[in-house]
Amino acid sequence: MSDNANLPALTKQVSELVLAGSLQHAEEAFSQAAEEHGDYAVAEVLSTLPPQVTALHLAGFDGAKTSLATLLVPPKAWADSLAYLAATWPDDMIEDDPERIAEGLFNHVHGIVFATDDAERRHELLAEASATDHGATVFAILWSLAPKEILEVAGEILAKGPYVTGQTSSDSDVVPLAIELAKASEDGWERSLLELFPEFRHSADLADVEFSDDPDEEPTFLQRSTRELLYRLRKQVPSMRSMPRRGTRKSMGTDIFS
Amino acid sequence: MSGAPKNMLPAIVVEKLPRLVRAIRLLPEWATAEEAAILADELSGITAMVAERFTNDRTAEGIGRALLLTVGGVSLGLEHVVDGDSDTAAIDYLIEHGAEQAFQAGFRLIRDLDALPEDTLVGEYDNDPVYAQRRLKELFVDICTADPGESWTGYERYQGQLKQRTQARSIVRAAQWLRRHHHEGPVNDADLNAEGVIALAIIFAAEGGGRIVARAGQKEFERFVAAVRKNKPDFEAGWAELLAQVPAAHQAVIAERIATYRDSCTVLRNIGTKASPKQLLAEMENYAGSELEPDYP
Repeated sequence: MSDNANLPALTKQVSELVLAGSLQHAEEAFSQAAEEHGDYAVAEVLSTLPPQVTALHLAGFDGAKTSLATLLVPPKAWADSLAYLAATWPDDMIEDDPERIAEGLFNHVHGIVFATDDAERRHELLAEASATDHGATVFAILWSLAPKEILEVAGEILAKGPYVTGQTSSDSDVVPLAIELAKASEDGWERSLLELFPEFRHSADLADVEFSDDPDEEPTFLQRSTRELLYRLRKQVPSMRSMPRRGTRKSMGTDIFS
Repeated sequence: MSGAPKNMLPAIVVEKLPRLVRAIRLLPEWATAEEAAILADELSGITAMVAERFTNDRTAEGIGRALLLTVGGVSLGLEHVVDGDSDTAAIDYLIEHGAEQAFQAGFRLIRDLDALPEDTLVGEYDNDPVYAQRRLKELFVDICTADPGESWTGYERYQGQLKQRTQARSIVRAAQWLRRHHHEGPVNDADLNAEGVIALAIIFAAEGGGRIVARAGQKEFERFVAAVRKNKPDFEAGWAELLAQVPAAHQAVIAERIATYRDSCTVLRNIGTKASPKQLLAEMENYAGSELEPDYP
């Protein structure tokens, strides 16, 4: 790296552009930085941006519009930014058309995860994203678009381990993503399943469940709806409010382990 | 119940909650709202740091487990720094010095305990930093997982382990001293079977002559058997010579083992019989283990 010194300035510039709503200009700043300092500089800036800014920036792009940021965002930065996505969803839209938000979310996740052919990066992205509570909720929202297929996939993954084909009775776009997630992080996959089907303690229980073919029949076990999950994600948006430290005693920080 | 014997008594289970929890229950009478708020802040800060370092600070489950570890860590520290069993003294300590200091004290106990050998077998992994880190975490989780609503025996288990490990350390140190003073020059080996080294030294010392043998091969052992059968030395005199050379710090460990082997060591007992050297060597392996080299060099 020739001059890391420019990066803080670039971080500030991009933050301001994004917050001002000028995604196009932020993206231009990125490509200029990539030309001058290489891709590494962009990844570096993306990892130092506050997660809510990253969320706002990435939310402006999906499968249809690609951006340098979607190609280069570090897995951890993306995983943190997912927590803030729900902040922008209007209440009445969650109420009236939750599927549309969920599909938008799917496009976003799919766009980032499948932006490159690099399987290693894909697995890192999925593993980081599903390592958090809000990440589990994000994936559960996507699965709630096709719960029946997800149950089938879950059963198949249990039976065949990593040699899954993803053949389900009706093809759904979420299936390939589910299989990738299960390959990338078994824990994350389980967490997302249990977020969708909270009554189960272990995904093995899910294999025995049969979905009824009659769409009007009430499911016999608890499954969270897309709308409910969207609200759950909304509640997990971290607040910026921080309380001032009380008392005069200074915290010794990680010295507590010394 | 009719089938139960008449003298069967109900089990008496005394609930003993973690010290921190007992102290917190006194907050309403003993602390101001301000002091209670500070304590709550500190405890959540510790929980966050424990989650980041030992569990997972990004899931509710990880933070839940960190909470248990925080309760145990602070409780362990309080048990150590606060005299007696008084809960009022514990809450006084928390208000005056803070929960972080109590946790630090508890974590230091775990660190120091981890630095002691677990048993008398030392292997190369015992000095490996990666394994050391993992063992520290395991020990911390083992002793300091404390459910705020349930009895916690972490401090008693800590004391038990401390006693056991201190003993193991004195045995290891005695064996290391014997190795350094081996009659053919110091024995350098990352693996150590401390009981084996001591057994070897004691059995060979029975021959007399004041040589310290911390490592022997089959050939040396056969020579030893032949010499003992020929000269019929007084074992006690040989042991007195050995003990006279050993520094005071290690004498107790070695004297204790001499006392055991005096009556029960099958090698020394059978040496006076017609047992073949091969049979004796097999007996010897039971005592010296890996410290006895079974093949001719």
